[in-house]
Amino acid sequence: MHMGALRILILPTFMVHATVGLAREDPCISFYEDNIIPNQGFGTDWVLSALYNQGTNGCILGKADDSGILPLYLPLFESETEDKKVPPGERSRLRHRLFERVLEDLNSADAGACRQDHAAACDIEAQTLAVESVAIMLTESGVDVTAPLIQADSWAVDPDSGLVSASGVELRLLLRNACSEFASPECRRAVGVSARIIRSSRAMIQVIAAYKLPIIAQDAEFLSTRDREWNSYFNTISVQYPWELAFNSWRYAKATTRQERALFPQAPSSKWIILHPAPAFEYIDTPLDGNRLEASIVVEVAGYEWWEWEKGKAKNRWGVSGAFSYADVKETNDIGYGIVLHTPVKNTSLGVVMRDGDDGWKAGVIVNVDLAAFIMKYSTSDLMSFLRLQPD
Amino acid sequence: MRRHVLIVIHGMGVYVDQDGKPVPDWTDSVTDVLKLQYQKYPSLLTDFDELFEVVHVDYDTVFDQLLKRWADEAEAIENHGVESAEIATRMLGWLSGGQAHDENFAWTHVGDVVLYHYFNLLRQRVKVHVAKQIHTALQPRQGEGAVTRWSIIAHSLGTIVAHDVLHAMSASTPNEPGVPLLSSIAPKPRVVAMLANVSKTLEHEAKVYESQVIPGRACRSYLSANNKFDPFVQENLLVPKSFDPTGVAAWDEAKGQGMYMDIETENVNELNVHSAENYLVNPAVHIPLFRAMCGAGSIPNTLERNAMEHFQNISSVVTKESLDTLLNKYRDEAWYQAIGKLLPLMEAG
Repeated sequence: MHMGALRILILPTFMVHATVGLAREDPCISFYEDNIIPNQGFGTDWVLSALYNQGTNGCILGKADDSGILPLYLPLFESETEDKKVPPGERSRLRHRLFERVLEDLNSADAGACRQDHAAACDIEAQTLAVESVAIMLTESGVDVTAPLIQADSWAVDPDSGLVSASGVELRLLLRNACSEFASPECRRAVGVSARIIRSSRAMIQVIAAYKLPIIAQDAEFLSTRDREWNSYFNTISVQYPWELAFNSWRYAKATTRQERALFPQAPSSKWIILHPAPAFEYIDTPLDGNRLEASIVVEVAGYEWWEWEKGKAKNRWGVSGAFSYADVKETNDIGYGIVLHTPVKNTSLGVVMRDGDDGWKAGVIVNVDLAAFIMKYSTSDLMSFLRLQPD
Repeated sequence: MRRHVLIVIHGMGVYVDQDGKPVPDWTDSVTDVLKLQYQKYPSLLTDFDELFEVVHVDYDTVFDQLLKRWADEAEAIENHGVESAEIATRMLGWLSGGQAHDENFAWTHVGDVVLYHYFNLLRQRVKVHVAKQIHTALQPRQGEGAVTRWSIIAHSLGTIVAHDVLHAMSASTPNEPGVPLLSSIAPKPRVVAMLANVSKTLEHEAKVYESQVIPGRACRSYLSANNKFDPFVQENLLVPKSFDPTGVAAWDEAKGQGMYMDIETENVNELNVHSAENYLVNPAVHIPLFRAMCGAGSIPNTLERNAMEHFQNISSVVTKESLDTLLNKYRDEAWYQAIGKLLPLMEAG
């Protein structure tokens, strides 16, 4: 953003407060004296990186920073719990105080006069105008959250050039011009100015992020929902074996576009069942022992299952498939042929199987392992009574 | 103030314990190597732990859960004791091998790649699982505030995972104002560092030369590092296509501006040439990486020259006998069987 574009703006109330005040030594000057001056051999570009890479104990929004900016932006990120809720009116007052503090910090630089491009004073002026612009924008209603000035990227200091695109300031040029000798007054001033510009830029990222907390929350909720859906698809809904997964992946590719799949699409709300074996129990009328619940392996040859997504959970999951049922029962065929129905009632699967035997074709009932375990738990109950949902 | 968040994304292999819980051991090892290299440069004044917050991102739990589920079902069918259902037991018997973590290269390594590349449904599961972790790591925190700097280091299979996720997060607009997911939460990552970059071979929906993951779009700079002795990145050895966007305008421009770093190394500092650690010990990799994160001036040329002069491409630890051991491993029949099946599939796309 060109500096000239920023000068169109009206004088905001902030300017009344953030007038040029007494010059104040930046907290990074101690760092400069202890760590920068002794390392002349590292070159002027290194000076920028030394300031850019201040850590949690450092002089830019770290423990050694006495500018007072950090304690003003942290409350903007307080969670909205009952005891810590920051009401909207209070938020805007906090932001106002933060902008005031940032502008005071900028204007406390002993920057001299803006007589040539990339002179310290010109950089301070450009940065100040940019900060004021953001302050004005965020006091208005109907803020355009896509506006360049309220994007974090516009305020991220480039670590190579020191460019802050929001203000057009390029710190590398300032430091190269001023720091041919690290231990010079010009370099000292340039370090103080650079520290303030980095500090104010990072403070703007904070205030912008705080302003966009509702958007961040929506995005978090979106990703959480998608994560739950896909987790449910793979881990809650019945397992898909590799060949089923391959087939359903192929179907999914046919049903969606490449662009959709490149983003975060919703998990499918149906799947095909193909050659799917599962342990089950079959209620068989055996020739020798009468009606018995026998262990069986049901192979669903082909079937289809469908459901609805509701906040990450699969609801109303139904399915139907044609199946073989294998059971080791004397005097009957190993294989029975039938249909399985999957229901949303506690993930119960029920089926009917026709099995040939010495006594001819007979119908049996298949239940899945979960239901069978449930029945076994109430083993004194008659199965048929249970299936008719009669009370014990 | 928030530190520089460093998202680290693993590649193929085992990154869960026997209970299927994610373990950050690999990330800890990568962090240790990075820290060791960082500390060699007196121009990097701020203590590594004071400057960086390393975040372990997991997706191996996704593969592990699926393989375990298959193995459990196979076991349940076998244990159900229905002799006449031998066909079902045979259908699923081979799946029981999937849950072992040790000595199980075909499942733990090759299986990861096959599952991610060929099963788009599983790819979606991995993507959103990783995206959620990244979004959580980047969210503003009480008492610390918002992230102002972050970067990604991805390795091997993790390079395509990182690419796919970053593209999706930069292009998805699921919120009310319709702005990209990543744009509200933090500035662009300083660098996306792809070690053993197999993203071109494994690309799918989002094409790696044309997606959002280009310097200047979803990231400020992009570092791609491939080792000549790493069989997993050499074109026509194990991968049909290596990452090389030469001739693509956006990438050529980025390279000219120093925003795309294409690094080829040839060091063998440990037997596992493919490891992230073997990449990171090399100053040809870690110096551009630190400069991308901390600024071009953060490591002066004098220190760089000194590091390069003193670095040994073949570590004294790795003797000829050790190299022979490595080559013998590659000659192992099981290895070639697995790779032999994989390569034609990848060539077929």
